[in-house]
Amino acid sequence: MNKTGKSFHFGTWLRDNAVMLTFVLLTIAAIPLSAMKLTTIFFELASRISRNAFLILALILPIVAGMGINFAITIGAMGAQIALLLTLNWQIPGFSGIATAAAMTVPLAGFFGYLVGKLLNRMKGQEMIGSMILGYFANGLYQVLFLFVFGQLIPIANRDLTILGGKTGISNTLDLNKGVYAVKGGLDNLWKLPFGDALYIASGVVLFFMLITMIDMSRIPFLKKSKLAQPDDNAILVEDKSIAYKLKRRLPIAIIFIAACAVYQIPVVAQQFMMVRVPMVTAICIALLGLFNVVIMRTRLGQRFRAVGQSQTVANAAGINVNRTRLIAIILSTIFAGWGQLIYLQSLGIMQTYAAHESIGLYAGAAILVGGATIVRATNGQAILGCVLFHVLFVVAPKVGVNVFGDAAIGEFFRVFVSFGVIALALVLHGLRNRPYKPRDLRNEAGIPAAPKPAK
Amino acid sequence: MTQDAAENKSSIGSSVKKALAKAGITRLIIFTFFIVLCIMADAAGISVPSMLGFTVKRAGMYGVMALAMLPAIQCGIGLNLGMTLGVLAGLVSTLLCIEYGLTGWPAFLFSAILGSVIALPVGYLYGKLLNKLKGSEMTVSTYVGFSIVSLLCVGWMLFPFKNNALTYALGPGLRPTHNMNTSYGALLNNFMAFRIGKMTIPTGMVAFFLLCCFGMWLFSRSKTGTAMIAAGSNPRFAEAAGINVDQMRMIGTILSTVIAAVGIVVYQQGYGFLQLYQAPRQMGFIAASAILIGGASVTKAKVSHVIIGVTLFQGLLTLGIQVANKYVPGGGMAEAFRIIISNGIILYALATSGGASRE
Amino acid sequence: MGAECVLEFKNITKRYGTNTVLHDVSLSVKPGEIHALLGENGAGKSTLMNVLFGMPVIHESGGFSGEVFIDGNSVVVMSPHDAMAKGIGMVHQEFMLIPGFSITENIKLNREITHRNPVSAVLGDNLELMDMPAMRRDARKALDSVGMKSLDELALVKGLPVGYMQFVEIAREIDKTGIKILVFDEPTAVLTESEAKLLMEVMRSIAESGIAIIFITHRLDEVLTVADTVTVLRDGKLAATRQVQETSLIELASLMIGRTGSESVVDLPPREEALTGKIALKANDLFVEMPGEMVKGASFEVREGEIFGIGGLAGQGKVGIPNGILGTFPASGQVELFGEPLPLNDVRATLSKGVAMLSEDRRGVGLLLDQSIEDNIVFSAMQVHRRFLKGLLPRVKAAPPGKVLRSAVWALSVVLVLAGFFGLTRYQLAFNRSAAVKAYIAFQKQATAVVGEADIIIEDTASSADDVVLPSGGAAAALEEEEAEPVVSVFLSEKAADTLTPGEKILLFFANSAWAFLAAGLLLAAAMYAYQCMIKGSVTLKDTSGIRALSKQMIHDLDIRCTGSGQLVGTLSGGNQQKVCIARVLALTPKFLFVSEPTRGIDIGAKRLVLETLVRLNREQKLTIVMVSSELLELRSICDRIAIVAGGKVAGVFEPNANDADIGLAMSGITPERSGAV
Repeated sequence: MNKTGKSFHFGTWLRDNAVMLTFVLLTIAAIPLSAMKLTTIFFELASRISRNAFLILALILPIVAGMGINFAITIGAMGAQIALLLTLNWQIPGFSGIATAAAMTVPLAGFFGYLVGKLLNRMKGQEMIGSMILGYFANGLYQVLFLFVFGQLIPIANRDLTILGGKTGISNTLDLNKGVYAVKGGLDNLWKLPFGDALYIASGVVLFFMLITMIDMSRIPFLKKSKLAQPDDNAILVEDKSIAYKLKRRLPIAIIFIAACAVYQIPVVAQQFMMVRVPMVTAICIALLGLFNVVIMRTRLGQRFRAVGQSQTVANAAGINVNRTRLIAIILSTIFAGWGQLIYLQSLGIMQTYAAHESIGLYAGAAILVGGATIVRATNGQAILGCVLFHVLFVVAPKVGVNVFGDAAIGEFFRVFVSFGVIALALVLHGLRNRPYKPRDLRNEAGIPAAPKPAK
Repeated sequence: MTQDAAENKSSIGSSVKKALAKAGITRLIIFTFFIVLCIMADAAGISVPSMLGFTVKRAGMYGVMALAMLPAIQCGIGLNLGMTLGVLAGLVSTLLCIEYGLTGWPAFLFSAILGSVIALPVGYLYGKLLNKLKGSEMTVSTYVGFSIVSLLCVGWMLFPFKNNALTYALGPGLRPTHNMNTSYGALLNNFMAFRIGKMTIPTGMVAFFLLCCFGMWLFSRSKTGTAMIAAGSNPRFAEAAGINVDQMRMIGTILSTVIAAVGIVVYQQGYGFLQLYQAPRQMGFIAASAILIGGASVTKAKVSHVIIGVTLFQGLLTLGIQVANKYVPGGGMAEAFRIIISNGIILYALATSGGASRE
Repeated sequence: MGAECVLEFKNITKRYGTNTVLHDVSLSVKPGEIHALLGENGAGKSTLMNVLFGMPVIHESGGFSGEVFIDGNSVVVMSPHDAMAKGIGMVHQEFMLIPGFSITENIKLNREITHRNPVSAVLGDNLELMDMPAMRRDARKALDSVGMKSLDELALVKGLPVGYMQFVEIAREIDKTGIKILVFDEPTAVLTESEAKLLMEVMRSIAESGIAIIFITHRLDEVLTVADTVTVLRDGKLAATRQVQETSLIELASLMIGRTGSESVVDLPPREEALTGKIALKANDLFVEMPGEMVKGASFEVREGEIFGIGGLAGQGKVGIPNGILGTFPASGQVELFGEPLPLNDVRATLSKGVAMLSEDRRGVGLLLDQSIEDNIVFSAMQVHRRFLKGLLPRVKAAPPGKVLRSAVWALSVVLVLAGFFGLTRYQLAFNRSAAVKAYIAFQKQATAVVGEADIIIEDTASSADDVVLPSGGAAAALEEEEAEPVVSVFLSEKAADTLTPGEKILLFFANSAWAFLAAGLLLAAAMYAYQCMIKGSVTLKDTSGIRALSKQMIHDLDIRCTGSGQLVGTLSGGNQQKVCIARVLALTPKFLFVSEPTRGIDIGAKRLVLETLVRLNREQKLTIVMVSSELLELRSICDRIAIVAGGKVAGVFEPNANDADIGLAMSGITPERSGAV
């Protein structure tokens, strides 16, 4: 029996990664057309990735839990913006401002996420459209909050935030780099390193951890064996396999990092990155979320996410509380989205009060799909790859518009089209792959007791 | 067997619930809200009759587009948020009409007929796609609609239109907004229009809308119409009666797309402007909200739902916006108001349908 | 009996309303015993298991009377979860496995072995990390114990053969600690013969380890092979409990069927004339792919004018036969109707040949629940025979126009319309641009007024969710940028007629007659279409009065209890819904009628009425009827002959008064050798 069905078919691989490959080709074609310098692209890209990666990673949990792309991350972002507004009002500057906002985001976004999850549990099978419309709906409430409630019902002391002293609510644009309460770069500016240094540090950390886990792998079974005194040699065989398996899975990552460091030694390459300065704290936050996504999957909770994502019926029969599991996934995703939005805003330094959150669901969703994820499967790697590819296009598209069609607007329209198009394509492909199978209630027809279900 | 007996009992209970739901709790609430708004408007010194006139005008404007939801729901594809495809067909035909400089009735007929003709193949392809994606039609159709709207944003920049009334003087592309008064703006509105006090009744437009409704009502009583409705409400039943369900879904989808094309033409003549770029994106949502407020669900709809819904919804918006503007300074509240109502009702419909689009 | 029995049911009685489904059933199972539970559908096996697992359906309907003992202690199982905790496990017939998980993960689903860690200590044990090696060891052990020594515990379930999944299921139950009782629910249904054999061995070895097994099945031979004790349930009552060594196939079969007295469900009026013996329907080697009711090579003949019964246990394929012949599920084989071959997989054709079917899935397939009684009744007749329709246009009796003429007219109208559009664009470009510009200038003067009025509307239709920069927005902006277009072109009409070139003359001709062309083209097309419709009578509407008349008559004839023919079918009771279904089928005026499970889920009075109606149709209208039913008693009371289907094949055709044992054997797939078969 084939262990994990890993026999490699090029054709299948091509089909499964059609979206990603198309995008790679598109990007490769677009870069020369834009006539932009690589240094500029890399510079732009670095800031965009550090801004957006967290948001994209926030999408993974709901996908794994079988709820598709959670477009309702906009609601998490709204929570973050409420928190940020209060922080600005209290005039807490810099890192402490961001930290305060982040702390306040947790209850706010958590509560919103709870409501979202409750609603999505009533729309099983329609979560994506549901979360999208929910995002629109919440946007209406958000506008009422910022136009009417803040300023008129809840006084805003900081006059910089309002027009006409709050009579018409919060102003359209909030400058986060103004006055004593500036929070711009609250995270980014804590520790910045040139690209090279950051790369070395990252490689070092990754290799170090890989080594640690390797040792761990061979150590644990030994201990276990003495403890449980398993007599059968079957177990040993299994452990051997597992080390080889882990090694096979981890080696490529190690090689990529080592190769990256090696390539960076070439001066021409290094030159292209000279403008890039990596905001290390933000990068660490992103890495931590990635790590969280991996580790959570190794826990009992993660196993529940996966089980519920693959079959709600079976998970239910095994005694897993399906609705609760889905709720947890959405709450976590919403909180992460809130933090992601804070990272985004502090990096940008400006907050479009009524627009900053609107499209993040769309762009993050499109990005993760571009990276090769589907609406039922997503990994950190796909999220990061998607982030890179998608934002390369974002950087170059307006320039391509100018150079080829004489108008930047074409490029901008094109990238909006690409965002929607990628999602539509992913949905269509998913639909075609899983042609509807109508499960019939044969059990009932046969008069045999239905599968035992846990009582609610 | 015994389980069935128990099932029957619970089904009686649920049918009581259903009957209650049929009385239209949502409709009742919205109607009450509407009355409250009327009182508030009056208190704020807004002329209610003229607002009612506006309501009738806007109901006529949006009516045909809301009607486009009807065959979609009936044939079983659910809320056709991708009816923007039909809307785009209507936009293209109107652009051609302006490009050629047609005016008056010729312009209107040209746009409506050509729009329908373009919508036919579009609807066909769209129907093919939806037939392959049973169960997730709503999600897919929304995003397909969105992406075609944004694709045409690029298109509007590139299409070789020559007429200076359409294009920017400098640089490529079409202007985002065009006034229709040079072609067929207010044509139906002014046809046999009359005034009652402060209310202006756009007779032609209302008549056209009601005519379309009557046509759909006739269709729903025809052999094909009944077959389509059966295929939508219970595909397995329809199959067992020898009906080609896919074909019926196709008919419904094409019909929906074509009506949407005519709908946007009617809308533009009533509104007086043609809007390009991102404007058509939300049209499906407005139409969906209207028919849902009228009492339709994502699986069941009638002509009466369209008429009631579009009137209530537009009445709510017209009055609500005026009242909101009176009580809260700044224009943003009105927009927020629209967003909340329009999306709220769709959410409600989705949540009460219990998720799965069928079964 | 005390603690020597691991499980004991004592005087279990269960009622649903007035309906007693379990009547004073007692049963005991010892550790290490394989206890087979035999019975027809509806005999009470499932209800008994529902009691054992504490299914919500039991508690919601008022519980049961009697006692359940586990290890000698009286218990009430409150939920399936509770059952699991008390050491009762179930091997489902439908696999409760996650395809994308490995076997290990499936076996350990929701029972993962985990390590504690600092985070989980604070935030709860859901965040404990899984101990994969330990889980794998457990899975390995469980797999080994069910005889799957060669199966890799890391393999994904997705790729496994169906039979293996069954063993994974068993392994999962075995792996649960403290399992005392294991219920196997028709476990061999999906297995191949060799897999079934292996399963028997596994069951034996599980039993030897001290776990009691309840083995629900209908395969008598399996019972004799593997079970120690067998309990037969019939009509909710305990028919008998036997030691396997002391019983035989024949005895079990007759115990299972056992005639419950001679009370007939309906009075059977005699036929006026004897049957001719002509064949009405002949099915040969019929295969039907109906999930759960596969037909695998059934052959049978139905005589004209008879009521032919098809019986058998659920899942054996009896329901697949009518569905396959009608075409609602993919079928293959040869079927002849009144001597003519019947096309398969084409519902419309089958229906129009006079075959009709009353579906077993009344609410799912038989009715449009949200439509009225009358719409339901006439639906099929309207769609299949075009009845109950009246033309919107008067009907014309004439031969339809020939193909050449038809295409010529269509082509002409298309050409005319195209010419019209062409002329229109020329015409308008040439003559009306000046008019458009003039209108525009006039409009611009009133611009302020117009914009003022339009304000309200512009605001709320502005698109809400985009952060892209529009080139420029708003109608007002468009107005500002617009400049009066200088009229530069020389218009054709302003030229003197004699200065026109021939090309311009043609253009002018088209331009001037554009409207004529367009109108002619459209009218021609419309007229052609209307004419065709009038000949075919295809533009039709529901004939409300005709429909109402028929519905009234049906409501009267079949005694449908309703408030009127406009009542929604969904609000009727089960029996009345079934009558509506019958009315719909009768409206088709069928020549051959399939009736599938006509009395399922309806009360006793309605049941009788439905059966009487069928008999009346058969006697009065000489309608040939094939009735598929799980209730042997029903079949026996109205059928002329009864075919028993087992394993997708016809195992035997019997007289209605045939021997119980023969029918029982046929039901478990053993064709009786003795006489009795027809």
